[in-house]
Amino acid sequence: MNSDWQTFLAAAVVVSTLVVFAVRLARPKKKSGCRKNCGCGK
Amino acid sequence: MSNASEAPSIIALIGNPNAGKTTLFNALTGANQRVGNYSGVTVEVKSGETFTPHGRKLRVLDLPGCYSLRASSPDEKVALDALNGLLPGESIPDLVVCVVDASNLERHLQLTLQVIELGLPCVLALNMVDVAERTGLRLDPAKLSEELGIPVVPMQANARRGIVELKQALRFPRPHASEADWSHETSDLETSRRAFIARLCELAARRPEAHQQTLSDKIDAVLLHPLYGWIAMMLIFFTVFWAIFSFAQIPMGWIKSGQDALSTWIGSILQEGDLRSLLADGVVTGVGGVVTFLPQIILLFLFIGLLESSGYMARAAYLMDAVMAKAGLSGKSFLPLFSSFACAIPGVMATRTIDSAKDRLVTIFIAPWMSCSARLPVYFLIVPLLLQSKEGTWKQALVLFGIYALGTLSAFVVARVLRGRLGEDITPGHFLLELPPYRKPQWSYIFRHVFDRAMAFVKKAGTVILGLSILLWALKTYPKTPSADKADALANSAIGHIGIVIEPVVKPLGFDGRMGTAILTAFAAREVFVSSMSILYRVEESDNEEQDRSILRDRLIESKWPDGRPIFTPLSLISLLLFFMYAMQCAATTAVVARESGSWKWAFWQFVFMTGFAYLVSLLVFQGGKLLGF
Repeated sequence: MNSDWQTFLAAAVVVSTLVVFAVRLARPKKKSGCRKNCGCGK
Repeated sequence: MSNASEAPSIIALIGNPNAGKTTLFNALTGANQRVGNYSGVTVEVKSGETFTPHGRKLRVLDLPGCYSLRASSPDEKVALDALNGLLPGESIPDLVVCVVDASNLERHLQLTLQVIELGLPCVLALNMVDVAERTGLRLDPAKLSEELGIPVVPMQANARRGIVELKQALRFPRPHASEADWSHETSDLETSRRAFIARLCELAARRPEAHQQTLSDKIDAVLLHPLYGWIAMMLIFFTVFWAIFSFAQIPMGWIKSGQDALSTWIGSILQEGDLRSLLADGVVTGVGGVVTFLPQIILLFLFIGLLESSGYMARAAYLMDAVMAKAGLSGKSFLPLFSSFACAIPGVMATRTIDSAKDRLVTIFIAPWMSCSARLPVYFLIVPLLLQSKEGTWKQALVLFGIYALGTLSAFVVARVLRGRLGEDITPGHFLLELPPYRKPQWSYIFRHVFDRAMAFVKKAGTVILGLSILLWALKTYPKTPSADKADALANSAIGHIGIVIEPVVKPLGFDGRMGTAILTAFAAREVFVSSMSILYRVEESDNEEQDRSILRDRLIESKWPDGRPIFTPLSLISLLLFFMYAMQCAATTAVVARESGSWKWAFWQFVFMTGFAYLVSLLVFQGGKLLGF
């Protein structure tokens, strides 16, 4: 694989990661069973 | 109630923590549910399927372990909601199986009476009859059944004894709801229940006249002894710590070799380029650096499982309770904090053994202040520079001990303040610490427990940590520079530019832009600081880490500010040490904290507090030292 393709693919991976993080942050949170500040994991 | 002719009947399992409820659930459903009670964590209701002896399908709900139905804790609220059919998508159970520890009926029957008071049909699963009989307790299940008005099934769930009999009790026609006769005896329901249980135990669970000293009593005479108990506990925890700290190095080395081999393989199939750098330097190094901790996590949870399953953990919590109370915590916080000296990640994950949600959150908050092994390469670089000596002298050992002691002391002070601010627990917490009899470890439970924790960690490494590694690589790589020199590339990257921008921010701490850049890269993981400093100060990496650090130290001694003053003075080095002691510089720990606390907000504020505190302490020490003429 030549250098140009590698540059393009690496940038695509970085942008995809940014998009995934942004979507996860923007997604409304599911309420856990115990509602608030009880320290429970999901 | 569910329609018996269409949908499968719903059977709810309820019981106190450590009654063997999840063991029974697994025995009934064949499911791989984890056994244990972690209040504030296992608050979800697990469900599985089983069949009556006639082949009729039943849906079994495993409710969280709880002591009562007062709904004063998340566990109790979920259990009560489940029994009232208030959980989303669930109806009122057709039958409730109350699981009780036969050797501790006085306490466990309290919950059973409360379930009967709700008017729900019940079956009493009289679990651990073997333990009860060994203590000399004379059980009369028929009398118990007659007095309570519900079927009673003696059983030993971990040996699958009594499962068939229990399934018989679950078939049609089901028992009717019993009358709560005791509820009319006095105006206070609690008193009525206690009086009824005392009478019931006198009739159906008689203890021997003279107290028989059991094997557990004999072991406790040593393990809870004011002197020998402490010695035994120190030996046990030292072994755990030693195993995590040193024995895990062997598989960690294998993972590191695998990581190197993978990087080499990527280098062999891809020519020089961004994708190769992303995969080898970003993904493999980033994710591999975190997966390296997997052996420590597996070992820690193996020990925790062993200590819990055998019954020793409750004794250790009992012994440590008074000490940890000085920090506003319970004895159960000791092991997670102790394990954090090896690595905060397994330490934070180990907080699941803490019953109180507030104690757990505070323990998670302070765990990263226990000096973890990732800080050691940084200390090994800075401390000899500070003392102007070679590595490995007793003075350095003394400084290192001081660093560990100061970190722990600071953590305890913060814990005390924070715990006070969170207020009293509404759950009984450590005041209801039970000392269960010693049992043979349940290996199937331990291995399931270890597997669950390891998988949760690997999943985290494969998602959030993978993403963070890619983004950090991008910050260290873009914008690209035509120079092939690694130091130039890093200095011209986004992170290098941020380093220059933040120089005015870090200068009051005695740091220059290059140190600022190296500190920024260390927010991924602390040990990255040394390799970043090596790149920025142009030290060629060799196989001898000690020699590399020595060359780097020489370069650091030579480095000067533009006006000719040395950058690395004793004062700036102390400032740097303090910054590394207190700052939250581990992306993986932050991700694990977010998961374990169930809140990114908690992880964020922990990061802000720890890093802000580190900045403030370094600033005060450096500026104060300068004012005093150092």
